[in-house]
Amino acid sequence: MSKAMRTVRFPSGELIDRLKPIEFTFDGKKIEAYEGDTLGSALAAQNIKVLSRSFKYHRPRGLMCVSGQCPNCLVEVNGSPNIRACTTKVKNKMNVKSQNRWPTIRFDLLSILDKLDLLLPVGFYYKSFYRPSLLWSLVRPLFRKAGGLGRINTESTKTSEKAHKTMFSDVAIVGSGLSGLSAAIAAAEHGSKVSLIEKHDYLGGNNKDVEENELITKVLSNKSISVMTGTPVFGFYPPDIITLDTPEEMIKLHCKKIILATGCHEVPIIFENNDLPGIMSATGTIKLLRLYGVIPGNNVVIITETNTGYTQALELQSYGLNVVAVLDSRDKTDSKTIKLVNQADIPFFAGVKSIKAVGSQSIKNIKFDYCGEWYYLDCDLTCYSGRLQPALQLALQAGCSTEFDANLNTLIPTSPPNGISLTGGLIGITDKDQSIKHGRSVGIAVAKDKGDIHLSLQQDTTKKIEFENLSSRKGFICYCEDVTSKDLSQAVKEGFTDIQILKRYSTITMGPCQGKMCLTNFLRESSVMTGSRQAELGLTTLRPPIEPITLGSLAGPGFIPVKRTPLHNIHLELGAKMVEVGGWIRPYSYTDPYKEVSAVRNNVGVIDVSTLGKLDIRGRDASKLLDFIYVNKISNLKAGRVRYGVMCLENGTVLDDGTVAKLSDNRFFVTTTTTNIEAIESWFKWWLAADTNLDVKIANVTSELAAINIAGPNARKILQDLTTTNIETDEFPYMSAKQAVISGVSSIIMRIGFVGEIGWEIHFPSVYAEYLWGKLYSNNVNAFGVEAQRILRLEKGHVIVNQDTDSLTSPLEIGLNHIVRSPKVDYVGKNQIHQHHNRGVKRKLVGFKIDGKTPTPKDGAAILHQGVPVGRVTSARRSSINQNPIGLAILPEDLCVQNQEVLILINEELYLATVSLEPAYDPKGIRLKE
Amino acid sequence: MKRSTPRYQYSFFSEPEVKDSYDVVIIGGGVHGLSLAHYLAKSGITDVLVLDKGYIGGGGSARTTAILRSNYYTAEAIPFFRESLKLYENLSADLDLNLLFDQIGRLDIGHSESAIYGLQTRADFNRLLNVESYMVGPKQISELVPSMDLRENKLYPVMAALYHPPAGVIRHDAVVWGYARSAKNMGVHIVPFTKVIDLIINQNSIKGVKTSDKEIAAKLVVNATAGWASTIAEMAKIRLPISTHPLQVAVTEPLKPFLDTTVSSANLHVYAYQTDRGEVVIGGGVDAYPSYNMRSGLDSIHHLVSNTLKMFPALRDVRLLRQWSGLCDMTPDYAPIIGPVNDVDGFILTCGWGSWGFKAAPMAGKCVAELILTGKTPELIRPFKLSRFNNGKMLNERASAPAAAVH
Repeated sequence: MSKAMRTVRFPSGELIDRLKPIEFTFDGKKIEAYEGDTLGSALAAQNIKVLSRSFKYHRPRGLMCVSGQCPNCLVEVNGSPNIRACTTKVKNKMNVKSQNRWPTIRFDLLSILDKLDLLLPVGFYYKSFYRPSLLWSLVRPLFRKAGGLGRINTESTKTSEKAHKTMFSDVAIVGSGLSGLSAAIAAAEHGSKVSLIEKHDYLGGNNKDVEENELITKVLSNKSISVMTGTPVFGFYPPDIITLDTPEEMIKLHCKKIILATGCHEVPIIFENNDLPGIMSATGTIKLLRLYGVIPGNNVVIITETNTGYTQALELQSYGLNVVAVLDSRDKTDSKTIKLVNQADIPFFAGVKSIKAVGSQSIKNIKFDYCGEWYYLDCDLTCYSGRLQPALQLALQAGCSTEFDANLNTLIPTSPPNGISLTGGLIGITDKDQSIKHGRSVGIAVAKDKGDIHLSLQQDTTKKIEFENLSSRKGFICYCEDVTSKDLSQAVKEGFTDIQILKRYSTITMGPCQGKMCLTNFLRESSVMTGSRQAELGLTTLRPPIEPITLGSLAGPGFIPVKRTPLHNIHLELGAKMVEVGGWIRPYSYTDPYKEVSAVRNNVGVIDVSTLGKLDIRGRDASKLLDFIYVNKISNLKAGRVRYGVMCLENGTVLDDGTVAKLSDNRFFVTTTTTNIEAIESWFKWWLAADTNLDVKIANVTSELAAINIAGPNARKILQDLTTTNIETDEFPYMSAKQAVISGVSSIIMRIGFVGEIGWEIHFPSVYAEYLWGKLYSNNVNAFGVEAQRILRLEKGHVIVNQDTDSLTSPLEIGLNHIVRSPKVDYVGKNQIHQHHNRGVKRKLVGFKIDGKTPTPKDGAAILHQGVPVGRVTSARRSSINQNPIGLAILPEDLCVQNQEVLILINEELYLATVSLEPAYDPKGIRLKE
Repeated sequence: MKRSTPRYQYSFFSEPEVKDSYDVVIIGGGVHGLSLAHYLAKSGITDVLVLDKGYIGGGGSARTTAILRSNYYTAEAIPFFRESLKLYENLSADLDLNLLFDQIGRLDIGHSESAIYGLQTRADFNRLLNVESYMVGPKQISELVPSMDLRENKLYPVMAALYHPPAGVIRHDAVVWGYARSAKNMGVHIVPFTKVIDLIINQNSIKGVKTSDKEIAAKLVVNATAGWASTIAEMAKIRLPISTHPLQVAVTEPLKPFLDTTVSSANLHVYAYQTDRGEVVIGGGVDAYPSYNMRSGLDSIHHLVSNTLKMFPALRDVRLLRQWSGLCDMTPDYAPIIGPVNDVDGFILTCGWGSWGFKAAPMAGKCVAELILTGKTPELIRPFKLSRFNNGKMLNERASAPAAAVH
């Protein structure tokens, strides 16, 4: 690196450590920096001015606000796009790249767009490329390529997200400028525990100086104040949460009291080419000099609308910069200020009407209109000064309204709701002493829980005169979207006079800065152009996040519980192919589903059904509650018997089904479908809560109990060998239940037959799951998975709720007319079911079969009749009996007759199917009852 | 704010003097109200007033994520949305404004067997009803969306998808402005910031509306509101089966193109696409509880973002630009309510547009205009009558909002 390239750096800066040099690369070039540097300060120290290319015109852009607000220093860091260089600390070996340019940042081919601006006025895309209609699809890819800023690495599958945390605070103070620091100290002195939150890595705010440093020392030594730096607050969420994006965690902070001291910041003054690299906020420039020891330029012009510009000129001069001139929009400046600048030999021009900046890659000179003549000033740095915008986002989200403030000449927040206090630059206080005083009194008032405070503030009575640069062609209001003053006036001419649609049409405030740089200018210019007062114009909604937060931080660590049964490892050992069903990981099959089906039909099989929802329901009124929830009657069930039950929503549609076993007079054991248990548990408790006089206790024992179903002609022999309980049909008929000891494990066993063979469902403590599986499963016994179970049940025509029903299915449509009780008794869904009954059932679930070795229809396939889609397949599989497809389908009622022919769409072909009202296997159910 | 605007091609709004009487008063100056105004004016009915309590297109039309598609679930909804999409295809030319309609297609991702089952029905029904729609496997998905995480051994694996090529996205504000300009140019009065506080009804027949300023007589009044459809209907003592829920949406900072189709997942309750400007728009299901509050929520955005990252982990370093929400008038069967009502003559509904309203606006406007012109309900909207909730003809249009789940 040649020495001539380097702007001299001061030997010290408050935040950098000269003894710790580090380096990083920018577009492949090595850059030296010091610990404490930001990417922005380090690049400025190397006199690298162009950091990015703008969104629309690809104009060169560089450091501007130096406070993390503007989009002009967005770069890619280690593969992550759109990082603000001015606030990102340098780390050794960082790989930094410029964005939105090709081939290089200095020479970007698309900057040709900048010359074509007359063809590309506001909303130009709405007015072109649509005739012929094909044109837009040809032009669009070019638009897309030109748009966007950073790139993402689509190969990346890392998901390292920030931890999320919830915390509580008595008094949270957002912002650590003079007012925030003062409020913190005062509140702490008066007994409050204070959290002081600052988005920058250091305390002191935008103007960090001697006064701030004194207060910082006090804050740091006060044990009642906990300080969080590098922590942007990105939103206020009711009722009392502010959200913090700390470097390590995302924190939801519940606050009893919040003091907002978010301050205000300088926003650009609009003039021709006001975006050239080298044009910076005066505060930002001073920050570079003071905190990082970086000299961003040698000959500086200051453009101001207030007295602040003069004091800043003096300060810049004190750092050794040559102040070329101060250009003031106002006719008059007060004599005290004039005296000071005269003493310092700084030229100034009052009453400057209009300004233009000149330069290609960075500022070369400033042209200005003074007393009707145009003058030139050579410079390599221009500072805009004194046009302030309060950081009112958080205040407005917290419920403040706005009023027009004469001091700042813009809108400030007002009327804070209870628990929220405002202080400092946010509410227009710009004087240092007043900021300290006001901050202190707010701090005390909050600590003492006192209401409003009234401090009379000095009002700036000088007349506001602004630069006249209306409708300038390259005078940017919005840097994110490249919207100029001329664009805005064009939009107003087209009838967009309301601030909301003006925003949408011009896209001002909609870019990465979210209005931080442009809101004040947008409101001012719109007010002039539409002829309305700023207070009448209203404000667009300032939405969260206030500070950009990554999706990774917001998402937090993923937490999706995976549900595994206690037999999971056994399934894996047996080589099962696993599948996710309703949140559970279950064996799909161990070998071949059809072999497993055949084993169950001809010998014996075991299946892990631990995933069934299980409720243990006890109490004197248990049967009363069950009677109310199920559409069929439960109270007449005898102890030791099991009944199939269906429950409906209030609207009479099927919610869930399962078995209800009465174990003793006041105790029921209920199973639900695998997917629904949480919802069904709440459903029971919801209705129980409706009648608090009922004596019912409900326990969800889904995970406490494992369950194995053993089924098949030889099931009885296997099971009988393991228990002394007599399981012969005489003693233990179909649809009955017993508490029994199986191989030493006390269990609930139910004789039921979902798969259509004689079998028992054994529920027992899940700690014994592997043990009991070991007892039941052997060389002679096959394990079968969910796919075999689906085939088996389909051959029997058994319904699976949610597979064969939908959100409108009534029990009358799935052949359960016989279990639905009369309207004389009350139960959930009764009215709707009976209305449905009276209106007539219009569609039904029926079985179908296809004769011949056709492909099997997919679940969900459409069914046609007379050329029109009329229904759909809900489940279909190849039958194990003759290999032909069978299944269930929802069809219009008039087609639900035996042997009705319909057509099913399978792989783009139509196949003839016939309706079958009987199950394909054992239609009389003899095998279940043997 | 009186300012005369030059009358030239790109004058979008004017400030008309509100008369005391109109043939038709449309309540709601969003895409539905303005589309109706446009088609009414085109068929010769120009004595029309459109009222909105806020700015034009400021409700659902401003908040929509503007995905247009017709791959619905029921044989009733599919043809309606198919025809609406066709109107959108020619709308830029019709309105003489580039609405930036990008037919980038739509993928409905299935992460489980049960999800694929529902998608299969839609694929079949749509194809049979002349909507391009078919199932694709992981290989084709990776060709369409190279940035999607297609690893198999993870939760919510991408197993298959329903692909619907003619779907797309549109510049929603431009649609509103285009309809508004066209209606305005044909003589329709469009008046923002005027709230209807009551309906004037005499002997079961509508006579006009009462605004905060004055009474306006009308032969017909159309309720084309969203969010407040049930409130307006209540003024006519009609109780609509609508519950209003906020839907949360977010958008990221602009990125270079990496995603050129719309992607939706019903399992994850999330959908996403990248705008021409490069931002990634992320939308989700409606909030679980009814509310008129349009504040952005923290929990919903958290879920929205986590679920987006499950499909696109590469977005984890991308910054969120803003989040917002809009109100959705959800009906029990996820289908709209259109047509006259039995109890009040001259009162017409086009509401209950839940989260499926923007895509329907052209055809809904055209059909309601035809209804007003002929007095007969057009075939396409006949299934959407209010009476269906009383006579057992609910539609089960759950695919209207695959990312939403209320009931």
